[in-house]
Amino acid sequence: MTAVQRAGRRRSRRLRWLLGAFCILAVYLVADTVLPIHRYRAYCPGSDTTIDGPYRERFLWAAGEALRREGWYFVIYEGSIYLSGLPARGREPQLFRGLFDYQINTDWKIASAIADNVEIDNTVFAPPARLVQMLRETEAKYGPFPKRTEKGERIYGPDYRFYQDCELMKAAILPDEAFGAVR
Amino acid sequence: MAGGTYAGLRASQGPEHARTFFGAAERLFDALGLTDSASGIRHYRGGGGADVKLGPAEAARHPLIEAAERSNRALFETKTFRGLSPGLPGQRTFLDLKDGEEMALDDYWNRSYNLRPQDGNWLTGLGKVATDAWDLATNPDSYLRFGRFGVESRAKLIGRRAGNTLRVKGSVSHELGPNGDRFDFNSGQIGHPEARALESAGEAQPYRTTYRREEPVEAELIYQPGGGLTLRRSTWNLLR
Repeated sequence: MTAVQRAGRRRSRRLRWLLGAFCILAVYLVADTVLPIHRYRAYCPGSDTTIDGPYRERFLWAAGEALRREGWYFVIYEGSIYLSGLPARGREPQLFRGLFDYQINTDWKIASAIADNVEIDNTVFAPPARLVQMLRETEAKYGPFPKRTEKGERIYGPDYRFYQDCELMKAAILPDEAFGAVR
Repeated sequence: MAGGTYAGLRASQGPEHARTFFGAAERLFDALGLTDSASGIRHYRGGGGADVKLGPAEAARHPLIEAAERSNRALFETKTFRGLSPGLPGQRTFLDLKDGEEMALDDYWNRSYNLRPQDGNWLTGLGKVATDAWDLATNPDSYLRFGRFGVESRAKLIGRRAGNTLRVKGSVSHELGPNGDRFDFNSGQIGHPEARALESAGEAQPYRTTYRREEPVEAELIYQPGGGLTLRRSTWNLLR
């Protein structure tokens, strides 16, 4: 074999290695982007921290509904949510600057909603007992949260305490109680 | 940081270095015309920690604040008014009103900038870098003056249904939040060790910047036969 042939073989081997490395990188990037392998961590704005699952079923249900509405790709598995790396593609206008912007505005509102009695299809979903106790203690310390108008109407909307208090948020979204009572 | 030490800081990060660092930053910002960023550092070094309250004219010099307000208005229109704010099914919204009924509703939206590093993949990381770079390039004075900050918009609304029309009235307040913006060089930000050194030497104090403006809002939406609400018109009346 001549020197030129040997050089050609070495070049050819290097190119094969490079091609192999490129293919592995491409497969990794595609899998990392497309597959739902990124664990969703609920975000608590009050202390700028995340809350890991597994989560209460009601949180999974509402969080899944909200993610679906915005067009995020995800699966729910064993109490946790796993997201694809693909950006959201929903029918609604994309008003959030990425997942984190969405989470700042969503997770704590769902936690606040879990604190309310809600009736869906003749089933009443009561708030978790531990959360109710914590809310009572908060009100005993700081006075009642104004949830009523002057006419006595109940104000519907997120309870701002959940934005600031991560312990309240954890009590709402982490599993603790039976799921609800059927009337 | 009263009583703090230089524990964990290298000798080069003592107060002398910190004075040089912040002095150079001030001069650089002044030279580049980033007047709010420069005055932010001056207040940090000589303001005694006193709060700074931004008036409407000063807030208007920060396009990121106005952009955040616009974004939050869009979220009220697209989600709150239409009963699509996140929560549990079963939560009462304007979608549930019957003809002649009225209900009160509060909601909150937040637009934040220069966010902490996020979970996610390489695309998320790239998105954050691109977003921060864009904000810095297009609004350097705001970006450097406020660092990591957010504008919170809170609405107090009443919705009344008449036939298939929903009329929403209320007021929305916009403010730096929660509880203002703190000028304090968080861990992970450029200048963090220098800031701690200067504070330990009693030559700087973090302070809060507050701003608030309120505007009434009226909107009219139509209940669609197949379900849902569509916005027909909205009027936001900014009070200065």
